[in-house]
Amino acid sequence: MCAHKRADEIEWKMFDDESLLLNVKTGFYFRLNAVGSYIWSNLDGSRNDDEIIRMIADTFDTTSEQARTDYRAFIAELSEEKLILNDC
Amino acid sequence: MYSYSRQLNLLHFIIHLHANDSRVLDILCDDFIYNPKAKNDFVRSEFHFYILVEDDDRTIEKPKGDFSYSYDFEANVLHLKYLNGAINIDIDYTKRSVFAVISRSTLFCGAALGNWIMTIPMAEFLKEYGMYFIHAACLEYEGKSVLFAGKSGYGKTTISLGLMKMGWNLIADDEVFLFDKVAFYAVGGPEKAKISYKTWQKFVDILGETDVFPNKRTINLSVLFPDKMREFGKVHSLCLIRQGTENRINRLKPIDAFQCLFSLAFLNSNPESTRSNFEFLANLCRNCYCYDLENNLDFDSLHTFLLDELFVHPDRANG
Repeated sequence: MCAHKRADEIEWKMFDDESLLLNVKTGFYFRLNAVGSYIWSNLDGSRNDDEIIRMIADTFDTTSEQARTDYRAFIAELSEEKLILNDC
Repeated sequence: MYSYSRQLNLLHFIIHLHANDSRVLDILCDDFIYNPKAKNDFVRSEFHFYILVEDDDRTIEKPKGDFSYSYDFEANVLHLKYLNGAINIDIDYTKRSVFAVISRSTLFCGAALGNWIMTIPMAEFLKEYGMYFIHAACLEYEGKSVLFAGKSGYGKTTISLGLMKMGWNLIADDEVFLFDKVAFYAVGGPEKAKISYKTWQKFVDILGETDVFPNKRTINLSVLFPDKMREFGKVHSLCLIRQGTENRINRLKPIDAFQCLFSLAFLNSNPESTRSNFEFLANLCRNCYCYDLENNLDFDSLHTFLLDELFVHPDRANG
């Protein structure tokens, strides 16, 4: 089971239920919706994938299956943009 | 805040006055940067500033604002380039120095030259003191200040003149320094404004007749409007402006205002600088009212419209 952590060079700010991530090395920034922001705020390395998926399903009133699909897709995007560190 | 603002204006003023005489650059280097007269005058003493004037065969016909920049991670140096390379500036964050190499043919650019070689490099170091330079106009009415941000040519100066005509006071028409001290405050940059011929025609009743066009396009606002200038003001709201067919305003979510302004307002260079820009702008957008403002240059109605929408019912505009 993997745990993921926000990369050090990423700054982030919450704006109501959305958030912005900034890669301070490239100057590129990314906008996250409410679910993305919730996931991002929990990527501190202390929780594994299963724990976060369970939290998403509870918080956003969705099925575990749907939460798992969305979470994996989101993590794949974050990894591709080098916004997170993966510990598997 | 007051003395700092004046000092910037003074530097611009000197460069402008002596635009055809490169000795002014020596004066700037010797008297203003290397020999601070007051020990606590950090603007003069906190970084080194070098200017090299090159004799070359370039001909610069008019001071157009073509501009590019790049950041060298390894050297921790920001390179700025204006006028197709006639002005090159290196800002070395490690050595805390600014090195400007300019073509002699650029000296006639006057106030614009002062902006390029002084204000923008200085702004990079002033972030350390919580001062952030943004490209915007700022006007005050009855104690409330409004930032009007937009690209060059979107009407910052025109709105400034139009609202001054309606009784607003000017903090700056193009360059503003912002401070985050309890609330956000705006401080004016140089008092000279670049005016297009079209704008001049529109405001000829207050600007007066002139024969300066087409060779000269700057006016000194503090001379024209001595009782309409303000040194600073508390920022109440932020408008992203564009010209259109009617006066229309929409409340923007702070995150939308941030996205519009981040690349427009700041140079994002080394990670520390980029990080502080991000932090500052996010706080600004979250702490003032943000709007998208389309205006039709009918300033009588724009004035009434802004008072009602911004100051009386700031939450009413759609968002």
